[in-house]
Amino acid sequence: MTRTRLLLALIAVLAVVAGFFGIDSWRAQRREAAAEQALAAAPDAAVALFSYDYRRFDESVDHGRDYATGTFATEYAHTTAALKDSVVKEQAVVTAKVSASGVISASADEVEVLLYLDQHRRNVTIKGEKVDHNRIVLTLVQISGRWKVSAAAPL
Amino acid sequence: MTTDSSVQDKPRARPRPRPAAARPAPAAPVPSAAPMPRYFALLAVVVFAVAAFAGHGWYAHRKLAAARTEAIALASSLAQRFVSISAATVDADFAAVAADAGGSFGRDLINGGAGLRSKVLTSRAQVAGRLLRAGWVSGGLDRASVLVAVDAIIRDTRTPDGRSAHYRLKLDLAQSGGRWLVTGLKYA
Repeated sequence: MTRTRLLLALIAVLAVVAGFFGIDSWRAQRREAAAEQALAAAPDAAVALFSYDYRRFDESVDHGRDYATGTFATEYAHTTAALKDSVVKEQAVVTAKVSASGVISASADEVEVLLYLDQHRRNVTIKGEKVDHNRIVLTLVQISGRWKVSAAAPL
Repeated sequence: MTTDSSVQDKPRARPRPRPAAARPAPAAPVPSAAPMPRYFALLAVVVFAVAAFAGHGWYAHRKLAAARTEAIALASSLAQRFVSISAATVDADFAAVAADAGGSFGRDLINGGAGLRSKVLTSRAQVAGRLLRAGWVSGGLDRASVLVAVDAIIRDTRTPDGRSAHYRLKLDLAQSGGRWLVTGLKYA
């Protein structure tokens, strides 16, 4: 009887330990997967959000908005609407390129990504092309299986 | 008179029949005590194997997470030290960077150090770096690549009031002798 009780106690302890290891590993795997997916999605999102062409401005904005969510999507819509007249007037073309990206922090649902983003700018007020070397932090969240930008901040 | 005899004359009370329930039940065949602990022992072995497997996975995750944290911390610290250099403390500043440098970056520091030292002294430069953010690019337990964004205020003979500089650095790290060393640093 005593031996049986001891075995039962041992099984219970081992089950608790296995449960702890399993759940913690599962959480870590979810974080890893989220970080990988968001890191893969961030450059495309940044290029879409920070590029535009005065000849297809509405199309550019629609494309960018597809990568935005929440209050950031609203902000993006307001900012681009306010920008439209000057973009068309100056015949501005901005092409964004991401040279590097890395994960700042990650949870299963939200990932912060640091990106080095170059914006190649052309318009009638400048000669040739100018390049802005930016550093931005995008916060991405998963919406219906897709990683979308919920915040963007320049450094 | 004699109460004793009257008592003795009383018919002896016959023992009452005990109710059936109170009778000791016939001994049922007791199952052998051995099989149940044997099943439990087998279950304990299985649960132990599951716990060991889960523990191994957990340990691997923890080890990788710790390696990442250390790599990011060293990359951030070295990037800040790399841009923070002052004519008054140039040798100590170089030594602080060289202490955590290895590979081609370590060699570049040695080869290019004299020229840079001379420029710092000539321009009486005083640069204070400020770490902004760092991000993990890729890597594992032995190698890592980390982005570090740093700002700096540069004061020298040309700009005594100071000017700001914004750096985008990418650092490569490798494990050497049980610790991380920065083996590559470039402006991204």
